Amino acid sequence: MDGLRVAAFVGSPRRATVVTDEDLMLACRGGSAEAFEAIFERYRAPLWGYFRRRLVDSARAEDLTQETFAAIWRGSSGYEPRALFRTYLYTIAFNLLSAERRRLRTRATDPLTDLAGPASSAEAEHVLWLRQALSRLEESDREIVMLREFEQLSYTEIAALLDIPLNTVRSRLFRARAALRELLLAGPSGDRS
Amino acid sequence: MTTPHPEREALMAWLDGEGAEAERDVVAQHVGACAACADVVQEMHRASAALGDWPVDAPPATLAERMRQVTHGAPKPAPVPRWRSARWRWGALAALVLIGILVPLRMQCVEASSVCHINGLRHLFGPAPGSERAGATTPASSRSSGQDVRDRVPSRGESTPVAGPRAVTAVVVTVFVDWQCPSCKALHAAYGPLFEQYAHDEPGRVQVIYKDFPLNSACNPNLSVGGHEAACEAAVAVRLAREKGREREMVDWLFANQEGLTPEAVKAAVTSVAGVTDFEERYADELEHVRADVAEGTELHVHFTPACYLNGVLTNDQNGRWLPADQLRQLIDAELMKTGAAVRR
Repeated sequence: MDGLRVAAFVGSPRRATVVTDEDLMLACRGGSAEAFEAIFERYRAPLWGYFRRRLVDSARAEDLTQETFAAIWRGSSGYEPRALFRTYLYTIAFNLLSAERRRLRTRATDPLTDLAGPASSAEAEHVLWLRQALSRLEESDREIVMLREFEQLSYTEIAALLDIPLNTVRSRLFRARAALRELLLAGPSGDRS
Repeated sequence: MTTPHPEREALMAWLDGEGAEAERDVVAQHVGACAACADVVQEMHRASAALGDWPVDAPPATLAERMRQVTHGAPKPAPVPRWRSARWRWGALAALVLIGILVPLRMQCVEASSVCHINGLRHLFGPAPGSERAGATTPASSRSSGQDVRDRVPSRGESTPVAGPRAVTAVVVTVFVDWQCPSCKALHAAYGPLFEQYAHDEPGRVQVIYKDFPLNSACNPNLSVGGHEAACEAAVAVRLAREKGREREMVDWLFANQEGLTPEAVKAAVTSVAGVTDFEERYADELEHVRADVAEGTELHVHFTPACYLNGVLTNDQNGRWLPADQLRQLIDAELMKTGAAVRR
């Protein structure tokens, strides 16, 4: 008979030995392509997700992912571990995304449609619903909540990335989440009243 | 009530693991004693979990090739100033040691305390072909546990209360595991003492259910090729060892010998460690039970191990990292509080 597998495990926590991003970047600084490939493996999916969730055009998302890593590689000779590598990485990504949005604006494309635009046919209905809910937030609030929820950046990292005070991050994040919660509770139509 | 309700921003910061330790301790103590604030925290957690249900497709395969062209085609970075060279040597050495460890692994184990997922996972970020949303009402057997996890585990994003046998069991923790996954081993080490403590302090109130999700294509159709070589055999071995009352010993052996584990080694160990003598004869039947667990995981969009659900809500973050044990304990305590249990920790 198959019963519940109630855990009765014993054991002491073990700490894995992990070479940090900063260690790898110091190796990159000397020109180690292998260390860079390790960085690429660590951040390929997260960085792709960063651009993919913010841009409708998957080809541009791939381009910008590549451009970010290329900038890391090119700039590695001058790398100094003053801050977390992750903050450095997303700062580059954020700047490239901002440039892309400026470019889209000149083409009279509202950057908000990045999120509110049509989903791919393979995208589930609830994902479309999430995109629409996020698109209703103020742009600055939306960026903060996305950096926190998807990129898992700390408040301090978000403050450094967006160059705003820590308390502003906290208050805007709270406001954005409250608004988002209301939108999500309202259901896919977004009409609650 | 011994302390005033914290501001909601403070509750949010605490849930995010932010703030000074002293402030966090105050909030933690309050949430542990205040059902209303525990509810607020749970609601915040559910909203975040809803956002986590926005997966993206896997990075394009062409990206890696394009990066190779960058690193091999572009000029190398400028020479490093002499004063940096010693540090560089140490950094390079550390990196090479890491690469020597990482490269042979087929799995993308980001770090031991993080998550394992498969390079070739076919529907890595999407519903299984033909499946409905998680929480579908289609009945399906859950022979490994005797409970259908889909009855309790809604899709992330659903805000409906999670049904559960609360009269007796207040909290159900469901973990999808691969016994050959280093991250599962790390979770076992971190959560094991916590679960034991609940078993002692709150007998029957917190149930932990392990579901099989071996990352091997032989028993998990989510993978197109390969995977952890002995993951399917390990899953069957633990099931058969359980029948002999030797589950703990079998799991301990698997985790102790996880690196380089082979099917042959598992077959030998299940006899020597658990006294199972009919592994080969029963393997095919037991593997169907493993596949039933995998099917449940597939419907829930599980795409990494370990995947840990607390009363129906996925507790891993968007990158698949599982919660530190102290944060899981706080969430469990909050659930216990809602059912009137006295939290004594």
